[in-house]
Amino acid sequence: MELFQVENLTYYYPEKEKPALSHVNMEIADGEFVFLSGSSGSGKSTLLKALAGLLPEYYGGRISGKIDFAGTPLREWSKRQLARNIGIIFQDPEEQLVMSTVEQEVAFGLENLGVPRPEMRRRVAEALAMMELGTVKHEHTSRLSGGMKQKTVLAAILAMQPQVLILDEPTSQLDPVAAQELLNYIHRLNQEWGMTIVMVEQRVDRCFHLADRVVIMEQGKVIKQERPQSMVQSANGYLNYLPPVCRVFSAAGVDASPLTVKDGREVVRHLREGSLREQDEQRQDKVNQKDTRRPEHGHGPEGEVNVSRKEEGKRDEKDLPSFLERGNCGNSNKAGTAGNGSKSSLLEAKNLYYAYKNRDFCLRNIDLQLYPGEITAVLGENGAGKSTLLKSLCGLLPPRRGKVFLQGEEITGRPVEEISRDVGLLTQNPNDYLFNDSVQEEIAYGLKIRGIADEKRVEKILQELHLEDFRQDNPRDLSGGERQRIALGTVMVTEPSVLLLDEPTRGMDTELKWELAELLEELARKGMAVMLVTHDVEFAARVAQKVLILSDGELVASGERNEVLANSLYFAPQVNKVFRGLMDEEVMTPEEAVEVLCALQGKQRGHSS
Amino acid sequence: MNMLSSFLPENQLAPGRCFWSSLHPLVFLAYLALVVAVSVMSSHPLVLGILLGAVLASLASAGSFQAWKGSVKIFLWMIVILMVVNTLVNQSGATVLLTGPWSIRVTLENLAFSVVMGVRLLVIYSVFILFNQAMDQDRLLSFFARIFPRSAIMAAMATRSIPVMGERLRRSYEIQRLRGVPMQAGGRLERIKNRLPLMKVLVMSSLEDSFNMGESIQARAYGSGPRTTYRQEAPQGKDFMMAAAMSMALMVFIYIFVQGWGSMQFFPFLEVEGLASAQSIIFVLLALLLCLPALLAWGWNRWNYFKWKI
Repeated sequence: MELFQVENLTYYYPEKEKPALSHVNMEIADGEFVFLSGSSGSGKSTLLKALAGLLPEYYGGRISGKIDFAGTPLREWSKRQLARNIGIIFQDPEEQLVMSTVEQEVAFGLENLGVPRPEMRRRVAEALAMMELGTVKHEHTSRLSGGMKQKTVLAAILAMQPQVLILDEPTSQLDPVAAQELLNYIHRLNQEWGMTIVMVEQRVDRCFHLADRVVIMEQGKVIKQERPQSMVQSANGYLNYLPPVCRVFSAAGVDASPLTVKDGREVVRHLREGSLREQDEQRQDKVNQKDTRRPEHGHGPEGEVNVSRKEEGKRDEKDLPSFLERGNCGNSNKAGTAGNGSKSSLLEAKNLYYAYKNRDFCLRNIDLQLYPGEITAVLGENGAGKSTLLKSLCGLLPPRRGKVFLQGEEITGRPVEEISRDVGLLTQNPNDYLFNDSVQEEIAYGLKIRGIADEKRVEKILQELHLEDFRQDNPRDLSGGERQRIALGTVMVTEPSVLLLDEPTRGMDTELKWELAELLEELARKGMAVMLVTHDVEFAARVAQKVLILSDGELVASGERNEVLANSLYFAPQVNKVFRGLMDEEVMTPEEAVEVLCALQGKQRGHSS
Repeated sequence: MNMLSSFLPENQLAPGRCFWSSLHPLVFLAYLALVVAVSVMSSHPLVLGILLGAVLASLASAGSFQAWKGSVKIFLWMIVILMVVNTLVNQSGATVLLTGPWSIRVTLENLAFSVVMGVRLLVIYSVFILFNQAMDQDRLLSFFARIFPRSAIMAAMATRSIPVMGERLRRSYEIQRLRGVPMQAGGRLERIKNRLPLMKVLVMSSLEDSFNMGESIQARAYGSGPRTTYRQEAPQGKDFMMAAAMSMALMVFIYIFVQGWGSMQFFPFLEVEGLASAQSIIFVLLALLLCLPALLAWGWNRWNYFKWKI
């Protein structure tokens, strides 16, 4: 039975000439899990709002076409009926929590629906129990972690017992552990309760395989909708919307289409067995031919896959998808690791400690060096001290103990205004940067403050960050990803020699992330030292040469990317998990994974031909 | 920055954990309203002193005295500025203490009037801190949403936005420093100019947040029809005791007001009279009645038996 029927839906936001949704047609069945994918600004969130009945009631604007819910046009449903049947969860839990305590927050929707008190008490208790929030029900919501806040929001919606749950990037503000926990709950709701789920999510790797159907949107239109398996099999042109594991197998032209790490490992195992069998057969052939003719080439019979794959299996560059063509990260990473012994560090921390007022140390005994041309990623759970570390390095939180050196000169205790000329820090929330009337003014502000008149520099930043079309726009009128780039521009414009970034990929789609990766690599090539704090392990593996893992304020791992990530149980990219233990060398990036897969297949193809 | 620091989440009380937040919302609001009303109607330093003492005792019993202390410094400066401006602009009063250029006369009467005005503002400010620190906002919203749905949600959102704004102000301040703005350097005018962007960030981000929160509230059917409430708000022993104390305090104040003891004549001459014994007794009675809530709260915190019984 179809729950939603969307026909020819077109929607314009107020005062906009371009439609946010254009002739959208789709149906959603009862109990279906629909995963909406697409680049930033493709209309995903707008479609979710339309399905929740918020357009045009809350936003205004013009709408045409039809949305039927359970056979009745959505606009004929009253506000109360809509809320009773369709629950929606947005990105930022901070902006959804109305009440002070967890228990009252869960009860808020039920109070609004006029549910009788005895029924309300039962539903609140059940929702709290289901989301395991019973122990914190009297807690002030502002004191909860991001993950707990989003769980509270989910519990509040579940208490209203809707038929449909609509989620707009619900994990974007959460660390990987909390995000996975939330996604597990959502999956259970679909599997065990039969609840219809419509979700937009940037962490494709974690939810792509959970969906019954994947819908891809571009420029306000639905351009493709299929089951995940079929989507992977016919993914030409849509690789950026697939999880890394699917992307690499698809890019390498492997016939099988694994959706998960487990499936991927199975495919790799088969390919490897085929490859080894082929080597044995080749060896046997050569033994047989020994008596009849001499070998033409000097390579030995013990040729392992990893040794020979570059010559035998490497695909033509033209065959590779755009996201793989663009970067040469694998190579640059390897190059970047060499030669630091002769360089002197740009920024160095020695025995650094930091404690907030009346609290215990949250950073302990940190020793690190940042070298020119090197990108360092800092990983760790929420509350491990990652952001505090960045703030301590740039002088915002002067160390309580230990020293910080910039180009060999001690800067501990110097004013942050002075240090920030050489050490730029991009903090987590781009909105905290934006107050000027235009993008151009916003980026030029840092120069103006320092009395530097250099329009060319502003222009260069606008171009590098693809912001030139928005130069006269008010930054507050732009999307989250665009705001993030403006904030980055405000830091880059002063041309610091050290760039510190706190969660720079938050809210960015795959394409934008890879563009940012290229930009950071370019800055590193020019001699900048970059350090980024991120929860995005795939991104860290893509750009970083060095990786640090911080836990409870202490560095528990520090070293070359492969050395740290390959030995990590948790902070390992998805492609690494696919190949771990099956191949002799560590595979960290999609590019490396495609090379290995091509090599494995190259052997097989050679044999079959 | 300092002023907002007491509203940051880490400095706020957990709701439902103190005597004040366990009171019936109407009773708590009535107490605050009584203090504000008396402070506005009275200009007698002794009455205002009693009010200030009662509110500070209440803040201490709610565990919020440190929060008040942290935020009051900047407010005291504002009061001092107001007093100075009033003294310079207002030329009334017969006892001239100082004369300056442009016919400026600093009079004893005007100075006394400014001090009393400052104390009155301090009482009102302290009442606001008590409300923000100790009022259970959820109960307030649930209770008033049935009668004034729009106003109640607006008040709840405004109250909730204060800690969020405090946190945002702190972050924006750090970012301005990172962008090279000398927030601490320069003269007062330059510092105000450098801090203006903070206000812009604060206002714009708060508007965006409110819009987004409004969307979430609409999606959860707020204002879609009659509401029910999760908590049953039945008045308890302590509410009746508070109500009785407040009624008596109100009657005592009316008596003081009718007798003309509640105000003081400042102009043209400051009239300072000693207290008659009857007057002293009445003032002591008023002080006891207004401090009774703080005493109850103290007992509530100290003895579980007392807490369970009221």
